[in-house]
Amino acid sequence: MTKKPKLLSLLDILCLILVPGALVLILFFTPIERVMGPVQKVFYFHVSAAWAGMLSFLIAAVAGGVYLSTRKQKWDWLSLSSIEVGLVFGLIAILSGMIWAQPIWNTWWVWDPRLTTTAIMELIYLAYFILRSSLNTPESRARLGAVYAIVSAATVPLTFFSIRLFRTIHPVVIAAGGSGESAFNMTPRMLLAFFVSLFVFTLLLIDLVWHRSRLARLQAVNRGEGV
Amino acid sequence: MNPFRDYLSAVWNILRKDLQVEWRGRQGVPVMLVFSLLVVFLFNFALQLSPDLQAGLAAGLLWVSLAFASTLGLNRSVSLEQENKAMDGMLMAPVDRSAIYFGKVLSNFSFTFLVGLVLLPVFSLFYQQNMFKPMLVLVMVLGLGAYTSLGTLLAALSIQTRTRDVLLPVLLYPLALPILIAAVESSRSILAGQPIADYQSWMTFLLAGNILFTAAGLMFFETILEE
Amino acid sequence: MPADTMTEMILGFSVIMGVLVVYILTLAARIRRAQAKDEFSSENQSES
Repeated sequence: MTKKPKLLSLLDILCLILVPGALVLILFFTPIERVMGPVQKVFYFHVSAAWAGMLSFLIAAVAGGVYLSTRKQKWDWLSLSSIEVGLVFGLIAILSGMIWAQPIWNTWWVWDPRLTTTAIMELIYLAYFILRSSLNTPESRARLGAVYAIVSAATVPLTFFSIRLFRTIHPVVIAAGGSGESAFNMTPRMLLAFFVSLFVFTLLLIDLVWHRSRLARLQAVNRGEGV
Repeated sequence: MNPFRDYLSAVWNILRKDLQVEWRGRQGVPVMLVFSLLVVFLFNFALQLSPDLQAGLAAGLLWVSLAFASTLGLNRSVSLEQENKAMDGMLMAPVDRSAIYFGKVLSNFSFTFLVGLVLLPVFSLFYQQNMFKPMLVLVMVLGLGAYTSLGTLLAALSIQTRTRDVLLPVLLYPLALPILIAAVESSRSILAGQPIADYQSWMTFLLAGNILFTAAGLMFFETILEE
Repeated sequence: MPADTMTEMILGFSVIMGVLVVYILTLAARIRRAQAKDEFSSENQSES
């Protein structure tokens, strides 16, 4: 086992400070939204988790592409790890969204396209693990996993475009030009909390993926696959 | 002979071979057809559908039965080549492997399209509305084209696994969802007699799906079949 | 007058932090197990 890099330890400490820090910032320093009340505060982490999930699936596809052209195992570890961490963030986004929807839309689950597609995305990437587990050699796992990760990521824009065509009741947070009536305006403090959350979740994503890739390498060494 | 002609003749030979196998054995299309009709009957009882079905339900039912039935054909088209190691022989032939992919997509498309064409009069009869509309046939070409080009790629992927063809639906349905949404939405508009402007964007969407998935197949089919 | 949704907010943040903590704990457990195995196999190698 190689020694833990200093940068990773630094990231660990940063995340340990910044995640509770962002939570405190959101809980005590942002105004209470005038219609929805305190539950609106979940939104900062909800969007950040969704963002981190999307970003990690994108990283997984890029890493898959690099694996296919270089055939270096470390890229497969990165791809696999990003997908696993992305699934966790996706789950957080869905669960927090459901809790927000309960008082606001008066239901836990709406067949809103964006909600549905996030759930579908989770299913797509769960299938990734089923695919890997039913392949025998590490090489085929890496190769076919990479192809699947790339094809899946390519369908994500399609799904998002299909949402735009489908009418949606999901609030549009970052809208180009005139947004629907369900959007709400953010005060400067809200914006600050929003961007801080985005930044913190991105750091957390990098930290978790890094740890998970190191685990993947360790497991490969344990199985005697060589590095 | 120029290389392009060679390529086309390779595609044509694969397609012709599949059509001949199907014509002699008649094991693909009839099975798919019976299966799709069974799906229609199951849904009819499970959802207590009325004979004067709304346009939306008829369109949805048509596409769900087509999507389910296609998986049988897709699985068969690759498992057929695994028997007697026919695929190995094809891979040894001095042709670009994407030609194999194209040929397979064309044959899969022809079979599912044939099933769809038979379903149209059956639906017209069962649900008392005229389903024979040129635009609906066009939507079927576009929708099934995108669906089978993605499906052929994923079928080649799932046949590599230990579980063989069991995996295909799990991989295919979530990834094909945007295509199915677009196909159902445009079919619904057509059956409701809306003007083209209402569903034009869905048709463009299907066209984009065709291009994207065919490109993915061209890029990755060789990688998937690598030994 | 904002809606009183304090309970939902608390529930929301506990679920978010809960999922994160559970994932981090399982990740740590897996890393520890893999490390133990790694040390075990490298010890065996040095003996032989």
